[in-house]
Amino acid sequence: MSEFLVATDAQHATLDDLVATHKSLVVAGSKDILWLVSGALPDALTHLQRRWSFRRVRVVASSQTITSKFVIFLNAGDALQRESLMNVREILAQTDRPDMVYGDSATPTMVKAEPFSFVRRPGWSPERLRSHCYVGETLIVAADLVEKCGGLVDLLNRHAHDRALRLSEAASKIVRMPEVLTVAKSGDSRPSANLAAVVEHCARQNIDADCEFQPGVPSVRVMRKLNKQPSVAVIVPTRGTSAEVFGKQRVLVVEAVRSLFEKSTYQNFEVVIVADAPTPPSVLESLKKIGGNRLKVVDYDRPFNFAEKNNLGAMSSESDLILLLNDDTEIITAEALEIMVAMFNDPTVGVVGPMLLFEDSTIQSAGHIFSPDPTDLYRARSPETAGPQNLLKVQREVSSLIAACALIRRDVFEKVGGLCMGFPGNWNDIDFCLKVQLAGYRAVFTPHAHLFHFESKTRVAKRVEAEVAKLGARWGSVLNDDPYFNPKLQRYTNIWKTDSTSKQTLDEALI
Amino acid sequence: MVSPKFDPAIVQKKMQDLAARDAEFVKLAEARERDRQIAKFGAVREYEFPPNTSQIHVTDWVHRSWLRPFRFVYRNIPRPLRKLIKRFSV
Repeated sequence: MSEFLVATDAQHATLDDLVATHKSLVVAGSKDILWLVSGALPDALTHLQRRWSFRRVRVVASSQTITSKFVIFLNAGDALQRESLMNVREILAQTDRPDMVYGDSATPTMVKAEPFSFVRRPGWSPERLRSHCYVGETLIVAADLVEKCGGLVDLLNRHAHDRALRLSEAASKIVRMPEVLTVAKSGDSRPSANLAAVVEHCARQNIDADCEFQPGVPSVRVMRKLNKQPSVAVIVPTRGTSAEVFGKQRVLVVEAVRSLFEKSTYQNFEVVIVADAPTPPSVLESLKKIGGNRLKVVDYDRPFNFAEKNNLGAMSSESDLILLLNDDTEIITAEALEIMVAMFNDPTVGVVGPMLLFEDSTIQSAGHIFSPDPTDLYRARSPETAGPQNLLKVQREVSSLIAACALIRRDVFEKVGGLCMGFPGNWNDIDFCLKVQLAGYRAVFTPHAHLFHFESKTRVAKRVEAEVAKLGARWGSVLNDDPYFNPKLQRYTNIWKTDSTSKQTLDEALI
Repeated sequence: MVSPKFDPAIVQKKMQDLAARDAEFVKLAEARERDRQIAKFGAVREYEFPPNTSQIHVTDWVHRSWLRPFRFVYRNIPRPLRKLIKRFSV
């Protein structure tokens, strides 16, 4: 019984491609590989069978039953990284054995100084897999899982996205290996996407949604249908500050609330204003005029504590969902609330966050990354930025979301104890999102809902060492190894950048 | 939707319940983190952001021509031995 069965669809492969793959299997780190080359021409097959491989690789044209413990789906022409199976074996030897493994990959470039461009992948993210096949095309899967999902031949003939979705549905544990697993032949390292595969996946998983292919990205947008209209309490802490926005002076909270009432296509909400004592009465009057009986004012007369203000607002209302909203925001996408509310059709979703933009339309927040300093991903970059692997164009799980705009299920909010009042200014959102995940729910970022967040671009959150220690005492290992980041990426930066190709100096990276 | 106007005492009670549940989660998270630290470092230590170990300077010296034979030998020795050398060198 061989250790690994490598399955390759060779119908459209050239002999050179197959030879390149064969060469890589010889040095992949296993002495016993059975290579199923499906659909190869007889001449090519004979050629491969005659190639010298130190008896490590046996080439077959068909296999009725899987006689190995693990199956590796590998494209013709792609090469397994030298000795990569040794790393795989270490992961598979763990007591809590995963039944599906994916890893990073590399693609050759024509640049001599940087011969490879690396595709560093985040940890298991089911929401993202619905959009595109971010796990790549090389998958290592337990043999029993392959049988459960329709068998080897059936899976091999399917699109990579379809295959990954089907396998993920039945898998009990999926693990990302943060090491290069394959060197891909293809120059295009963007994940592929297949609309039909996602439609079928949604049907199998009872996800009531319309799916739309976005050819520019490429990805599939899964738009969940809003079959019921859960109530939303919008909590807006404020002190009635005025500021200049788009060249005009405005009372921030008034315009934030006005945009909700006037622009949002979703109207089953009430607004709870948590007003500091110095809030001018004229501001409260204006707000009441806009909101009518759907606006409630809660007075707050204690020293500033963002977490407490939000908790107070949430506890002063009754609704299915709670939207934490800063007073310096403005809705851009009219359907933003609908898009976010619809995400809660999935009972495993605990908190959803949209794309927030600065006044000049650059990105303010597209979810947090812990690198290990918690930071807004792609802050101050162009809103057109797709990011490596189209990271910013697809819905995906994140470790944390900014509380400037976050929609939360009320039962989850109450279950985890709301925002921690021990973090009065910074990081209460990070602590909250991590509590939500500890309780077994997911935090999801959607790039399809946009809001302005008129925060100062140059504002840097004041870091208090005692707060770092407190956050670290609770979540230190998550901060050091964010599951939706990759340990091989450059640290102390807000972009998804491979370590070895960086041109930044240490000082630049630390700023 | 419009929520009823709550009695401040009821809101206060809800806030206390919220704080109590937060404390439970803090306890749970801290215990988990303690276990992880003990498993990794053998002791619990105060958290601070780790130093930046990103490879942001290209280490050119390893590509000098006179090092080629040493690199060749290193790359072709058995993996466990290579791991050992790497561990000691770091």
